[in-house]
Amino acid sequence: MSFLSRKKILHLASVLLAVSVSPVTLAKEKPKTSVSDLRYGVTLYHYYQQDYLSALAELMVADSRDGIQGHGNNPELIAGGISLAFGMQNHAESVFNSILNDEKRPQTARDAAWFYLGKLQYLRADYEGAARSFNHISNKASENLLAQVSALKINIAIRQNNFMQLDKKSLDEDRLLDWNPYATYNLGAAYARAGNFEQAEYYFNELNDLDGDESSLTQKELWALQDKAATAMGYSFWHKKI
Amino acid sequence: MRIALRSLAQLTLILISLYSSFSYAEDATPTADTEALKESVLTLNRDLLILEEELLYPASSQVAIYLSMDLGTFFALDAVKVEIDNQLITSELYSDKQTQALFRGGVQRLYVGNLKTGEHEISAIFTGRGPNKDYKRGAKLIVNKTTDPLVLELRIQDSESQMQPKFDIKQWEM
Repeated sequence: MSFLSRKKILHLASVLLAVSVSPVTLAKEKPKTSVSDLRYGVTLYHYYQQDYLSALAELMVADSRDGIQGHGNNPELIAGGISLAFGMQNHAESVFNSILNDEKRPQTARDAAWFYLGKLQYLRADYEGAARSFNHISNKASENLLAQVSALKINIAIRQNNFMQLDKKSLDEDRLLDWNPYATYNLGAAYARAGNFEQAEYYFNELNDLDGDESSLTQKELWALQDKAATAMGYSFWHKKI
Repeated sequence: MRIALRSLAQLTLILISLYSSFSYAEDATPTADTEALKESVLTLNRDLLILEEELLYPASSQVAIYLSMDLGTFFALDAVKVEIDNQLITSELYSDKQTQALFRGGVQRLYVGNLKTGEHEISAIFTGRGPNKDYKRGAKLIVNKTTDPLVLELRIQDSESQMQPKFDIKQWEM
């Protein structure tokens, strides 16, 4: 196996992990209480099962009737989020921009809109734009949202090839929450691709030292990541020897 | 009529998914054309859903039954059966994905149909697992169907005081 193909494997693994940063793989949330509008609840029911077409159809039927009552900005945000997941990026962008252009919107709605807009720019490989959008998010945003933003900022640094400027403190477990193992793996893979195997080993070892009890990821998810890290580390050792 | 509408919707969706997969094969970034096509399909789907509802379930005879779970930490839903006047009208076996969607705040539209005006008995039987034992519990409600649509919500809720689930049926005012 050539070095190029090993690089491809590491790159593929990294891409796969980046794909997991999708609108539907949000970190664990607290359960919601009952909804006051049934159509909104039905939309969520489809959305959480990744049935985006049915979710959007439900929202559109609601819009053509008397809309969804009593959920503030949530239906709009969810419409933008589902459109993004369904590959309707232009539509999603117009929804988020309309929220951001309205200064009367509460900060929580603006934070969510900036977050999704940043994610959209990230998906379009507009990494500078994504970083700018993420910088608009206030510190009052939810812990889970800020954790995802931190992980995405690390991914942006990797994509822009300036991840070596990140210090090890950027991997703050308390800030990254469930995204910490993913960020650790991605940094390890990035160093391996760059040929810096010592640093790669450092991050892969960090990941392998993580205990299932310390992370709220499912044990299977953590094992899968650790398995990938162990495989990648094996390639690193092999490469150092040849 | 109902089958024809659904078939048309399904055919359209198959065509769009085929089109999308070919487009993605050529280029990872969805094109504006693909997005426009998706919007057209969504609009068509919406119109078909509205048409289906208006033609098959007119407001004067419509009954819609939803299922929700408020928190649900004391109950893992396995199945539900719904009867109107002792006639089974729908039943559902739940996958993990469905129960998770309910647990996170989703509401399932379990049944939409027609019902004559007058008094009717609605009953639901829930089966599932609780913290210490398996549950098979029922909930009943006598309703008076008028010429307005009848909207019912089967609710699974946590009773914090009793540390066990409770089940009821709520009638929505339309």
